Amino acid sequence: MMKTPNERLSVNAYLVFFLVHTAQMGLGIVGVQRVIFVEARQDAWIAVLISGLWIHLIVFVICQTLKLSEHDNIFSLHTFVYGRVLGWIVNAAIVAYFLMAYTSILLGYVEMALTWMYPDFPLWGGALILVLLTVYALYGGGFRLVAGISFLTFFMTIWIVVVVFQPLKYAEWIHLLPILEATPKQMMNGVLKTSYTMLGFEVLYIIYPFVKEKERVHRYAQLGVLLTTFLVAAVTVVAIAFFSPKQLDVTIWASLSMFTIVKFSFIERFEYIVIPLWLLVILPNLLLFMWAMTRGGKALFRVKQKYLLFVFGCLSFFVATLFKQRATINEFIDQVGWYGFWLSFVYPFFLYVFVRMKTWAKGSAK
Amino acid sequence: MKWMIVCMLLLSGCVQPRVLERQGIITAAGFDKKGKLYEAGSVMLSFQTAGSSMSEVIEATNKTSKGIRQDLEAQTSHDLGSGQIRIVVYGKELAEQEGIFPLTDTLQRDANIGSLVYLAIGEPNAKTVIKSKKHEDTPDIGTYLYRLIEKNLRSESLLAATLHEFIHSYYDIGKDPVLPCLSLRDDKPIIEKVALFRGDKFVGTVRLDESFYIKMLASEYNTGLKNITVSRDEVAPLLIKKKGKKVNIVMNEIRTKRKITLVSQKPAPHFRVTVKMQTEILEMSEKMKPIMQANVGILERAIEKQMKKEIEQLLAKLKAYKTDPIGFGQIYDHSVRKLQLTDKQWLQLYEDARMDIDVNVSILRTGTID
Repeated sequence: MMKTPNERLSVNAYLVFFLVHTAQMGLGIVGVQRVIFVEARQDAWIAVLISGLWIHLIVFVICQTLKLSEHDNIFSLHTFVYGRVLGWIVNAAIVAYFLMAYTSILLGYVEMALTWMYPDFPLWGGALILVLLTVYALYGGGFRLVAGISFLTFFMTIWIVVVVFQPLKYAEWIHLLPILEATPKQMMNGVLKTSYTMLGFEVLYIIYPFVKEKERVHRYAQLGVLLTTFLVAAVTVVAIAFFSPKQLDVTIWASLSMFTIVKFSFIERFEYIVIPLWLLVILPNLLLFMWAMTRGGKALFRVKQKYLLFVFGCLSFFVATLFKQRATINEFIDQVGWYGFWLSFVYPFFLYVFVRMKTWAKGSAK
Repeated sequence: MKWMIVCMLLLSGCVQPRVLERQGIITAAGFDKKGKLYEAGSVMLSFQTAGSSMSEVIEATNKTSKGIRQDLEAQTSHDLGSGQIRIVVYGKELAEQEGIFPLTDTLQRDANIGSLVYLAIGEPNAKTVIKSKKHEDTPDIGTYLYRLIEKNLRSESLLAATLHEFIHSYYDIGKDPVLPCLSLRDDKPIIEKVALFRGDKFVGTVRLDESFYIKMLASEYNTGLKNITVSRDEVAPLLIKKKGKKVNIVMNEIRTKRKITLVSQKPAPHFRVTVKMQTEILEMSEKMKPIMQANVGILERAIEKQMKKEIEQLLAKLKAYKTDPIGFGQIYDHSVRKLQLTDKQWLQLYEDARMDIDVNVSILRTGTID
């Protein structure tokens, strides 16, 4: 069992709302419309809602699991449930997943920024800037800084939502009809495809010990998820109405392409504001995943988080430089979404049962 | 940690600087067909340190539009930037024979170019339109054409013309794009007609007063003028003189709401089109008795009847061109469950489709006099 981090390191429960929400929001929402639409057609938004409901259930299960032993994070829980050796392997897999998720965000964002704004800038340069930024922030800050940043970036970026309504001028609502035409299989595939966008709530497993009022974590986490689901569903509905079906099939960053319609008298090309601003949206993602990684590394190797920060930073930069083409980057992101699906959408139920059984066995053995 | 900040700042210097005086800003482009090659002209606007700006048309011929871009670069000392491109004109011949989708696709793909670029068809070809020297008080022809289209879209019967809308309608099954058709009068580009498309191929034109109905049926229509000619018999009770020619009525501040529903699918698609229109009378070609609550109905019915007739004529014309800019096919596709309509199938169904038109006019005001 781990010790509770001391008062100085912990945060208030309301910050869980921002942490969970900003961890979920990120790169996915920029292009999620197409990937779901390809599967579920005009019912894509229903797939988002189903996926959202499912996540509410998972968040409930995660909080129930963590309540069983309040000082644990996922890594110490694994050692507790599976024992030393097997636990170490499972933890290593989780750290690997965080590393992949981190790298995928890195790559995805840099690729987007390069295509839209800096075609002559090298991919490694963009990746380096982001890695340095994460390392710099976490080196001096730690978890409280991550929480602070997700709080700040939330308010700095949430206003973009208002602008999404401008494309509605060109919306053709008839595209949404007929409702519920998708077969259950199509719908299921659609739900699967939302996973990459909706991922991030699994950080609950790691931030839980750092929250002061444990009994209120659940409520705020649910609220965070609710907002994410609402926003993803909203941009999906807007995109379906805005693009014609075949057009959406080939639009990579549907949200961004919708912003090309937005025009103010003082700024003609709004997407050039949104893309740099999106760095603020993905920053909490990067920081949380990197921080979670170093947390896991600490449990694995018993090394100070500061050193691990450099190791993982270099590692993700190295992995990122291996990628050259959009197609391989997309494949990589799909892979991450797939692992993330199993880890975050399915595994929490099993973990709950395991922890339950183990505590029960321990209790009766006494 | 300071070195990290330094490093970030240094990396941000890797991006190429852009000096305004060195930039040649393309405001308009035109494409024509010449044998197997594309012939293109671009209007380049450049700024001098002295403060004034100058525009120049540069031309090139190549196999692809980006190839043309390279040829254009060879003809100027400025760095060409396409971020401010306002309008792209396609020659009528090119649009008729080849279709313009490949050329619009490259615009969409280029992140430099916004989705609100206007597209238009040039008659007799794009080159003459682009090279026209008459552009009123605007700095260059690109800006003139942009403002011309923008104004007519906002207040008149011109239909959607942005890149986004063209691509949207092109991809949409059961809906065909339309674009403004620029023609020259005394060497000055004006809008006289609207170009109709089937897919991305130009098939014909309709006059602006006909495109009023397309605009009305395809979406909600607000403001703008409409001139309508009704026969004398229809409005006889209102007239003071009993003999004469037909009566012209000009309506203003038109607000319409349209509703198209699919009534039945078999044997052929059957649509019911309901248009509700509110308007005021601006001009009448003849002196009439004061229009009161009691007799305004006569005028309204007369307008309705004439409009219905004109819409029917227009629909017949569109059917003859085999083009569906109003989007009946789209409505058909989305009203029927489990249907994967293709453009080809729709074209066949469209020929036999029946549309019942129901127009409902209410005159709100008759200007400052009755």
